[in-house]
Amino acid sequence: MSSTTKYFFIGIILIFFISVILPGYFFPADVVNNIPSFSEGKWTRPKNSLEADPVYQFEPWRDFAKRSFFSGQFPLWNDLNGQGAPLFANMQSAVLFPLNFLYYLLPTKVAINSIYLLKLFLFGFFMYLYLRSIDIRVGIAILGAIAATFSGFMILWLYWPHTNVYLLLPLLLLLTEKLKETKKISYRWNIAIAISYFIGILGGHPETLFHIAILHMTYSVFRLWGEKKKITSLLLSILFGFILGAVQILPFLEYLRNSYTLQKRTVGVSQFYLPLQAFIMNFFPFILGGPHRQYYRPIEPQTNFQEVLGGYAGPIILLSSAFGLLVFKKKKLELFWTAVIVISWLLAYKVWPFWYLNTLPVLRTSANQRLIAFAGFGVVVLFCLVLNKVLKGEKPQVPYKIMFSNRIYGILFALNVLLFVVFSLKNPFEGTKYVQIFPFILQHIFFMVVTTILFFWMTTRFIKKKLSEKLYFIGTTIFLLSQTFLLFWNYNPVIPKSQFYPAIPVVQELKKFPKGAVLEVGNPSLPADINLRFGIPENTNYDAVEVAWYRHALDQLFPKKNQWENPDDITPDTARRLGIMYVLSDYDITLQKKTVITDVASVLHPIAKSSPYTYEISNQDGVLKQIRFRTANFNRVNTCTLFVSLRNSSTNKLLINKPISCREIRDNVFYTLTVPPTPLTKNNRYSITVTSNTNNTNALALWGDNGKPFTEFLFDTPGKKNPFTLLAKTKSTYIWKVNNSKFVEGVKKYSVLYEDPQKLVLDATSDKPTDIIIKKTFYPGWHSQINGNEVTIKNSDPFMKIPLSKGKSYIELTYRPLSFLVGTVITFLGILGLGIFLFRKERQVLGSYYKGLVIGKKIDSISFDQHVMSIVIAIVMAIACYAFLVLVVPVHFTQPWTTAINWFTVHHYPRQRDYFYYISGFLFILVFTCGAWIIWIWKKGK
Amino acid sequence: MEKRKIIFFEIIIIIVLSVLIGSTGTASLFFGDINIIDEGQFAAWASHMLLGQHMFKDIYITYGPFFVYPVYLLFKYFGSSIFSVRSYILSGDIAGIIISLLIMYRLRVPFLARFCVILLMILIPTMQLRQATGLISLYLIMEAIDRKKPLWFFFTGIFTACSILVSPDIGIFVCLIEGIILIWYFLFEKRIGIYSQQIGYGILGFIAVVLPFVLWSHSEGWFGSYLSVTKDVFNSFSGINLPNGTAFPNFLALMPRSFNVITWVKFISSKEILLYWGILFYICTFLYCFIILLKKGMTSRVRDISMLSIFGFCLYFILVGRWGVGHFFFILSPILLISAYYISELIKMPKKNISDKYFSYILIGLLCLSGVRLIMINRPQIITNVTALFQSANDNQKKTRIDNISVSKGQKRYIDSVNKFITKNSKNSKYIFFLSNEPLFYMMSKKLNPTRYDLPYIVITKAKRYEVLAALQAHPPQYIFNNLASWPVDGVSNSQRMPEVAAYIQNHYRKVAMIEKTVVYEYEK
Repeated sequence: MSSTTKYFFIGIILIFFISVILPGYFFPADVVNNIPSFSEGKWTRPKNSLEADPVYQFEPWRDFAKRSFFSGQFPLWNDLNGQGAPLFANMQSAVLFPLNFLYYLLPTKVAINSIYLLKLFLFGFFMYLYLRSIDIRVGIAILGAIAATFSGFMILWLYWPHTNVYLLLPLLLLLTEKLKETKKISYRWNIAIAISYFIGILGGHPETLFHIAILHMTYSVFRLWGEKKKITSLLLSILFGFILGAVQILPFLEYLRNSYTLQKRTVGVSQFYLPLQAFIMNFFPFILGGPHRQYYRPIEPQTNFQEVLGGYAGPIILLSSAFGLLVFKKKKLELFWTAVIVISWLLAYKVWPFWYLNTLPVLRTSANQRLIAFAGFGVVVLFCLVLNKVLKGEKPQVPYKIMFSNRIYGILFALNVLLFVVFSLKNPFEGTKYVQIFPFILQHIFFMVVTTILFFWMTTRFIKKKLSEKLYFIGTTIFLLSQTFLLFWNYNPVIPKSQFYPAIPVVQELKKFPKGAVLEVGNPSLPADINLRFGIPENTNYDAVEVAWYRHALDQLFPKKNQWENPDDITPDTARRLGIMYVLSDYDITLQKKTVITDVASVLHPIAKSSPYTYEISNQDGVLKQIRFRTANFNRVNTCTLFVSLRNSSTNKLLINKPISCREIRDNVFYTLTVPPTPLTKNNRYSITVTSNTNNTNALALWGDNGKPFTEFLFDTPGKKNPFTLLAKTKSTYIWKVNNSKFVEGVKKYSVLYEDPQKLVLDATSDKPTDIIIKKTFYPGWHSQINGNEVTIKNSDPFMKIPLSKGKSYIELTYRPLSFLVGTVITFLGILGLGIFLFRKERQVLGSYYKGLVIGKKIDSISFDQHVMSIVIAIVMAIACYAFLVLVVPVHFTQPWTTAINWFTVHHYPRQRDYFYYISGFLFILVFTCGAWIIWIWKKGK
Repeated sequence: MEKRKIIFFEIIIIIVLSVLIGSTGTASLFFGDINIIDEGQFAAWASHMLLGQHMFKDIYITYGPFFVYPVYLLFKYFGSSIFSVRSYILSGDIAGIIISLLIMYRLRVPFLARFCVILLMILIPTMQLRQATGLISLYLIMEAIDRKKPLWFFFTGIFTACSILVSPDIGIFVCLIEGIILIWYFLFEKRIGIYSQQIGYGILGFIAVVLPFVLWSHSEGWFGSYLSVTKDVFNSFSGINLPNGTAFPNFLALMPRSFNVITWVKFISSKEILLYWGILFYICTFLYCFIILLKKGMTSRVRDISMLSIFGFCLYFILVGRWGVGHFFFILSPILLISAYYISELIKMPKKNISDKYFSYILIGLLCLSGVRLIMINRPQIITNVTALFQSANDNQKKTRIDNISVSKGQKRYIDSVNKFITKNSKNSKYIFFLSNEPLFYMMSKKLNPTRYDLPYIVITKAKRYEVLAALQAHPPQYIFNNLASWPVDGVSNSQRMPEVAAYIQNHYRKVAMIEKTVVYEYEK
């Protein structure tokens, strides 16, 4: 075993060890605390407020997939979101991604920890191998691998499927290098390329795979230029990789064809750009704070931290690469990577005229800003190439004395310290809202500049041979880690078990009632797809693809959405049309809502005792019961108390004065204040005051505009027949039942006999032939049988419509997508073909192993009676062991659901038991006996 | 004597013995009560087809179309009779036994062992057309691989398709074995190109059967129904939605608690434990193949035995699904063939020492004893069949014949009475319905069944129950018959299986007659 392989396995073992001993989940599940229904009443700040998708989507999907596998079903369909949507086909669920198998097999905590640590480790390992393959020294390759692993893209997108695919980039480049090294075409490397693409497809992010494939193919053509056969074999391998991935690709393409996202994206040109000013973040990543820090502000409202920092590798690496390009003779590989970096930047940042490229077909529908990852990757490679030259003592082409002057570094260092001290003593933003964030930014800039200067100074010392190689390496490692690993420390947090999808009161209450689709109104209470973790159906879906007709129906019924993309109002008709059974809301939906101040353009100034909000309203009529605001707390823990008071402006009579604990307030959500019933009249003017008990700006504010906060009044509706029944109320959420909402429309009497994600069985009676609508999203692949006869399902936009004849009907709906079936067959045949091909190619090697065992001769040397005796004894032992196992290890069988009446159902006998014991017993005895006999032969042979 | 002549002679003996003594589940060709369920279903299906109905579309058939269609042709050209059904079933048995003989020739089984196995196959109902098509396909692939001639591969393809169209489950087992063999050769065969070409001929043979079948069934409008019924049969038979089946006997529960030798011998040789011996036999066979594979590599003998073992292992699933002596006999053919091979190998084996000798004799003895045990189990049937042969000239027997088949007086009387009632009372009605499992009467009366199910015990799921209910409501038969003495499959009567249908009969029909134990219900408008 080579030392690299040895270290690889040591690394794997270490990762599993760490995963076990880690005191919590290496997963930002605490981000749900930003939702009022989680950590109700007392707000606990999440360690990173940005990492929502993994918590809302990927983990619930994976958990759902695991439960499906354990119930003996392939997780094709998610029946709990959007009245049903494809799960496997949405690709991002990455059901078959190899690392996710750990999740299906290991305890959740260990699996989660090990999956993400393994992603980092594998990326680093592949990077190391790639760097070694381009003749980078071991030490530098290790440094490069560390830098790349802890660079922006891997760290910031660690929980996303993007990195499932991205981690294969260095592997693919390595395989191209290997292909280049070999004299003839080597099938092994080609197969490895095909398998890598296959895994990439299973990784679950087609966009990233598309980007990587373009880069890999360009790189391969560049490196294998002039070797047509190798290029052809490589392209065929990639094609074969896609054939292997048919099981994932075909269902995905089907979903994409029927998706809302494709329709939306094909309409316009890609709008995914990074603002040019965000380039500075390649040097100072936390210049606007960080979502895991106390302060954070996106550079533009629609541009988040992950996107702009995707290409970050640290100023040391970036400047060193630039320096290397300037002073050393440039080789082809360096030029290639320089081109990759430049093109990536030009496409990712909105730079005229390059952004016109994004109007090209395919590019116009993809998120090209993520190409910035290649810039980050490229600078690491360039850095390693440059450092290699420096350590080799390669002579520069241009004079660089100025660059290596101690004086320059000294001046820069002194200037930096001076600025730091000056601005620390005198905050230039005193009196503005940036006063608190400035010291943080100052420290950050100081740190980045100091580490960069020190690195270059150290490099100068080394070049001047005033520093040993060992010390230089140690120093470089420290500085690199300080700009990557240390800088991002705790960006991906470890959270305690109690924060990992706790069973919140809303869920506990909902579980008391019969299963039915839930819709959130107003604030998110149980957002899609978190509901999957709790097994509660939710009417919305959040899978980045979305079934087109369902989404259109949702948009049509709820044209106005709030900041959370939730409807803010609901009528009983819309609820019934969508088959909504329960509504979760932050306010009393039976009251009449009136928005008295509508503007929500920005966050107003922080509320303090000395600077309260006071504003007047008029033209209100009715008995006021609730007031609704939109709050902001900047994701910081606050300890104050707010007071909301309402006065009659004419009489100055205090009508309402209610305190609110600041710990209850979240960022960018609605806060509903229930007040004593207060009659308001049209002719009077009223004044509202929102103030704090302290002058210490706790960084609490309300959303609004022109100094007036967004305000809604909710009035009593006496005598109105109520279509919603209040089932329960938690501290932050009302749970309503929609009266007369039906799952099946068009039939008088029906009952659901059975339901699982991919099957629904109904018993319906109709007194005339009719069409019925089942409130499950129509989608190709669903089949319907009525009394055993196949019936075509129609799309009633968005639900399934089937014709029913008079009398009793047994309706069976099953999801059996042809795309998945065809894909599975293609993948299976591909794997089978690959296995056969590999076996035939490696037969000689395997044959020599077998010959080494010389079993055939040993068998002959033993007499027949001895063989019979040994086998008989082995069989008896095997039977005894198996019988013992059957007695000792109880296997629990439950009878499968059925409407059949036969011996099994009459006697409640789980039929699968016999098959299980037949197969397991057969295999156990056979394998045990074979094993025992072979061991006996070996012993005997000796 | 020349080998071909010997084979021909042996085949003649097989045919004569099979016709005279009989190897069908119930009786010989000319004697023995009609099996109202097994023979009756074929008779009913063919009869319905004569009346213009289509397989699968109008008739729910749990087998493949090629298993049923020949009966229809026999009825069409020779007239509807239970004799035609029995002849057809017997010809399937004979084909299976003949192919077993040819397989034994391939395995170089000596005459005595061959004779014993053939006799066992005739005396014990081990063979049916279903297994026969499976064995034919296996035999053809064995020959094709050895001979390496395109025509053999072509025929293999043809018979593989036929086995699927005769019995989907047997067809799948055959395809599985062929798949394993193909993979094996793809892995190890040096001249893969030639093999691929020959496989192509096999595929061509397969298409040569399947394509005309698809065109034919599609033109008659029942191809879709064939697919959906076959799928339904698979879904039903592999899961809990099985019309019949009971728990496999529990070895640990049956084990004697005392150490009495006789109790233990009885236990070991009991019918229930015989099923476990079968499993052990296949385990030993797989071990044997494994050892020979390690020693000599893949010889044609090992390959043949492996194929038979896999076939037997797959057949065993049928037994696990529904155990019983009848089904045990059903899955016995591969065991008998492999046993014959073992006996021949044990006899031929060079005995290096005295213990080798004893061990080989012990093993031969055990295999022979197993054969004797099987005969003992089927003893009453064998005695009936053999004695019936010598009573053929008896006048009494002549009086109790149905379609040239000598049956018991009781059965003759019952069938005649029911038939007479139907003929007399339901002249104007097109339909009758048997709630009990007695499909034979559809043929006898030449009436149609308003439902697709001639064996109502298949109607166990709610979908099927509602379907039957809707069919009865759409075309109410004038009379519904329910034989209270008929066999409640696995102890569950059809009224119990179909509560909705039973309730419907209660509400819409009235009892009008009692023929022996059969209640006759008449439709009340």
